[in-house]
Amino acid sequence: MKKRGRIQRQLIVFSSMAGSASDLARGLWKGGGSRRWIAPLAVFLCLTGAILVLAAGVEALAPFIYAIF
Amino acid sequence: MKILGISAHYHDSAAALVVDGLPVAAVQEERLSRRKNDAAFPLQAIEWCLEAGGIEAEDLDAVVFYERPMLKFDRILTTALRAWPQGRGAFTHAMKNSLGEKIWVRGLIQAHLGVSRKKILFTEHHQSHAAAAFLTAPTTEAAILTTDGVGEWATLTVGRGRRTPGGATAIELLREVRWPHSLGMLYSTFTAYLGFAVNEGEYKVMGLASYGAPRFAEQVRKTIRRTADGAFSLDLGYFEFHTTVARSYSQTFVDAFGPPRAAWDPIDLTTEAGQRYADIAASVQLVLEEVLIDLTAALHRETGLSDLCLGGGVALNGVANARILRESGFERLFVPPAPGDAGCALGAALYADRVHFGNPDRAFPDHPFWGPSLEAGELARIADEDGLAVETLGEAELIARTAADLAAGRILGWMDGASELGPRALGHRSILAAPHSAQTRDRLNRDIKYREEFRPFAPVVPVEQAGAYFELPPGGAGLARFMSGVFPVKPQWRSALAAVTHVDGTARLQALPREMAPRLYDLLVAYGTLTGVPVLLNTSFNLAGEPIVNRVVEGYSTFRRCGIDVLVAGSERVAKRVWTPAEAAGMEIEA
Repeated sequence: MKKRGRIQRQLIVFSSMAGSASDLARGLWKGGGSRRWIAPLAVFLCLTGAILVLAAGVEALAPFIYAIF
Repeated sequence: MKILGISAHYHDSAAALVVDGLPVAAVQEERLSRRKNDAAFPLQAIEWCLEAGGIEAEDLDAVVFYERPMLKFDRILTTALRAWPQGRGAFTHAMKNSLGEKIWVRGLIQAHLGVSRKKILFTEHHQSHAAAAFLTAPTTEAAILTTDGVGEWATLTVGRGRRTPGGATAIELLREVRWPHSLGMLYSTFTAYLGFAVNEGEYKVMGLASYGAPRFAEQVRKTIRRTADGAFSLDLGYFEFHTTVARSYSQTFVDAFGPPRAAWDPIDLTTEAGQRYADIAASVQLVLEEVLIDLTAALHRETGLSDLCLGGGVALNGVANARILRESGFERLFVPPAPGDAGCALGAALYADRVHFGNPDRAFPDHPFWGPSLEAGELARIADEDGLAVETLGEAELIARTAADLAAGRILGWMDGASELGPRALGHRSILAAPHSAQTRDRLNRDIKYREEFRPFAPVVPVEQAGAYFELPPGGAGLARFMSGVFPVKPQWRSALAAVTHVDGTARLQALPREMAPRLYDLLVAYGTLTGVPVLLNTSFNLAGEPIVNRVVEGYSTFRRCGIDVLVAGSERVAKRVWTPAEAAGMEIEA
């Protein structure tokens, strides 16, 4: 298997997140009224996850994570 | 078509490579990483599978993950929010646990394997279980029942499968029971209550159950109500696994069953507390069996089929499996060697091949040996460095010498060919011993396996001879080929098979067809010729808390660290000492 550096791997994971998060939001939205209200929260959590993944991969960004929260 | 199946992130991660409809390689990550129940993304297992198949990641036509992580995240999120505000601790834990890596599986596969996005597929968790159970079984049409702790939302599914040799395959899951109502979680909650590790100690509950009487069965039945449609629902007042990570049972549960056992408390069956634990284990085992029998009997009436395939972690419960075979109405019951999540890697790959891509059905080899093989000469090299003499023997002499070792009461590490997929040693990575004396069992527990004395050992017997020693119902030998059923030892043989007869007179036997493991089969025959009883004690080749050995070096390390007398790897044999001719001729058989 082709070995990639940690930063490169995390950037690939990061670039795939929009599609995965939109799949989740779409699924929740299609789930009907009782579940639609979770969709914005799910998207927010996915964005948080994206930031965490990026921060874990690109260490130079880590100090700025505190500023976001 | 080359398809890689992956299971990961919860317990027992694994990878499996299917080429042109047949498995080429499948292995659990724990066997390579040497971390028991390793749940990490199985990079080592993937690398080994690709190497064994002689291909690069870019040659793959598809990579299939065994469940839908986003659907699982949906369930975790919904469950955590439903439990708000008392479940806020669980919410924080779940988010920390999921957001970092577990839900970004597509990106993770892309990052590690470099395959394009469109090659990455997902099956549903119970579809993977169903495929692992049905597509590996020697049947063309069967009812299917899968049951475990939880997948995405489903905890139990029923359905049916049909395959035409060389033609199309259909797997249809008809109904499901959804989280948090789960047979697996019911059993796991009692496992935790009894002080054992969840996802690992369920075997111990089953073993302990034989020492008890089901005097708490009525209380257990109150925790799981039967519903009008024939399914069940848990009374959530007894449970907390869906609201907190701290513990899985509630104060109501403790009020009903008494104080829980602490993990470090020894189980002394001569005390009132010890007997209470055994009685509770017997009670939950009984209720689990009742529910499964009702479900499978209804499935039999509905489908009218003669074969049933069982998948999911609950299918490791051999006592329940044997009752299902006897009482559900199905004539044959098939449980794969890895019915848990590890087997889902293979199930997902097979599901994608047969159902998603619509490739023609292929007859599946009926054995569990898809892991790494032994390297010839490895034992000689390692033992030589350690100062022990290794003998390389011809096949006939090796079998004769090994049978003589066993007949003389020696305990043997046995490594042969490729390792097994799944939690059981089925003849290629086993510790073997004479099955006759209770002292052998005690020695194994004390000096080799370092485990609780109430846990039984399993026998292995040539399939043609199984009926002579064990009470097998019709279809029992088939179920027992992967050690998936617990059956009574015939009363007249119980004292002669004391090391493998559990306290209730049963044994979880392996009825071995020669074509599955010819060398072990020949060893059984040779041992039978020497002693008159072609049965051996067969337990997994590992020490407590370690995965089953994989390579020769791990087998040798285990051999050196415990009381195993002789190690055989392929055609090489090494012993810890040289026995005198008188000792060598000494037979310690009580049969």
